[in-house]
Amino acid sequence: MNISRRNFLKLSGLAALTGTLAAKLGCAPDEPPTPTDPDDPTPVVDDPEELRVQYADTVIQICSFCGVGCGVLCYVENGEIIATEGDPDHPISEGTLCSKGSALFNQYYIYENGESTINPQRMTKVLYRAPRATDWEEIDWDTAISEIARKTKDVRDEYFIETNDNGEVANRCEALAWVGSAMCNNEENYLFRKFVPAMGIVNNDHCARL
Amino acid sequence: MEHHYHYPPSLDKVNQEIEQHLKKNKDLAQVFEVYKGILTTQIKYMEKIQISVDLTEEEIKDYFRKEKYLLSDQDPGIDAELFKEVLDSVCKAIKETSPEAPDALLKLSDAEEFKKENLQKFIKDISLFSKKELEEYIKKEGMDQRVELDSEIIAFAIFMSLTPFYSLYMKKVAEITDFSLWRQSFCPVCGQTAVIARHRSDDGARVLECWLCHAQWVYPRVECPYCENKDHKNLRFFYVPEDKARQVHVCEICKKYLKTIDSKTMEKDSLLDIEAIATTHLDVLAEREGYKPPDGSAALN
Repeated sequence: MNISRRNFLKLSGLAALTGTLAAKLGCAPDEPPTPTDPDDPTPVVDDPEELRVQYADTVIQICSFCGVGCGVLCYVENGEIIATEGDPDHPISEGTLCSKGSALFNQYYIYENGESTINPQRMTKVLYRAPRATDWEEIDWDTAISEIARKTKDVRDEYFIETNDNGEVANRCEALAWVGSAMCNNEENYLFRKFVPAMGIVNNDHCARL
Repeated sequence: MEHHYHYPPSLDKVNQEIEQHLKKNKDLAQVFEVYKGILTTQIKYMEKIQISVDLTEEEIKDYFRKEKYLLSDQDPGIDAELFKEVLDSVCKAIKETSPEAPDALLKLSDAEEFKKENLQKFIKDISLFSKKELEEYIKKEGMDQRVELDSEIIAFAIFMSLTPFYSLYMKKVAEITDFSLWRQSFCPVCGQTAVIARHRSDDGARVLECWLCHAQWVYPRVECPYCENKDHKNLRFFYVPEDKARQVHVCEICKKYLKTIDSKTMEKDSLLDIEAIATTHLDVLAEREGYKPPDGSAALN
């Protein structure tokens, strides 16, 4: 790549050999710089098109496939995921992904007629369908969580059994069931296990696939 | 675990990589000749220098836990006369490979500071300086006037002469323990700020490398090494579209940048000293985009 600069940069380490030091040592890659103008350090580029830059973001995510919860780095350009890879700093997976996790990127797209488009059915917001309604509506997380808590509490209070038919203490609610997620980790499951008996729930299961 | 026996690289590998870069940019031919001249001198002296580390594994780890780099108060025991010899050879190597370099380079080792009675003190005084600090010290002491050389040239020659000593010290440390406890932007051994990194080819971990002693240590991918900003919304990177493997990771909080070689994309672990030279266009672009090089070293102050 050819770059000519009015001002060489002052760089550290071996890179200094291409900066101001190079000019002073007579080994500059380009013609010697013209006198430095401290008010205008903008480099002059021979071919601006060649030096167009592309920005990208790195977003940390968790793989959606199973309960191991491996770390994933998603690379995003112009608002679209362009690549994914294992997160080397994730304490569980340390940069590795299984065959499903390695193909995570493909979940983002649908492939039809040799073309890939971003999957329009990908969930990005909370969707709510009211009882007997046919359409979904978008709601925010706070509303959704409050609604779930409210309904859970109402059902629990309505169906809570303090004593059984023999008059013995039961303190349970058979109208609720708790199904854990394969996405949850050990510590989360510990909290769920504490929460479930506290609610009186006796129907407790999980969907682990490991 | 990151191994630290990678330095110095073999000259065969150096030549291979340089050849690849020259195919794309012939303008760097002379710069690479200077680099090879310096490296050859460093390798020659690394075979002669004797360095020992008087610390146990637990003592070294204690430095790392306290976020203190080793040479902040450890003496690497640099042989003053040998240092002068290295300096002389480095200056000669530069002059031989870059004939336009000032003739005064060949007399640099005659300076007052490098006389037998002053050398040990001088090395002690300057051994913890960053590039900027050393240049300021040289100007303050009037050394540049006396030897008729620019302070940047003097500082560079001194650093390149310290490299064999510090690299050997780093290798001895790495034989005792690894650097996995270290999570700083500056070197765990000599305290210089890292200015280049790579994503390791096997697991993608971000490995920072010291340009002076060549220690390598892992630093989290989504975190700014210079201000510890962890918000991914304020961290991003850019690259020239034709070359995705050579990236510039920038922080919108402190506005500093870190050149990074993505070895996974490149499908090999390249030599970062050579990449630092070959990616000077990224420094130009980073400045154009409004970012600052991570020069200086807060750690050294």
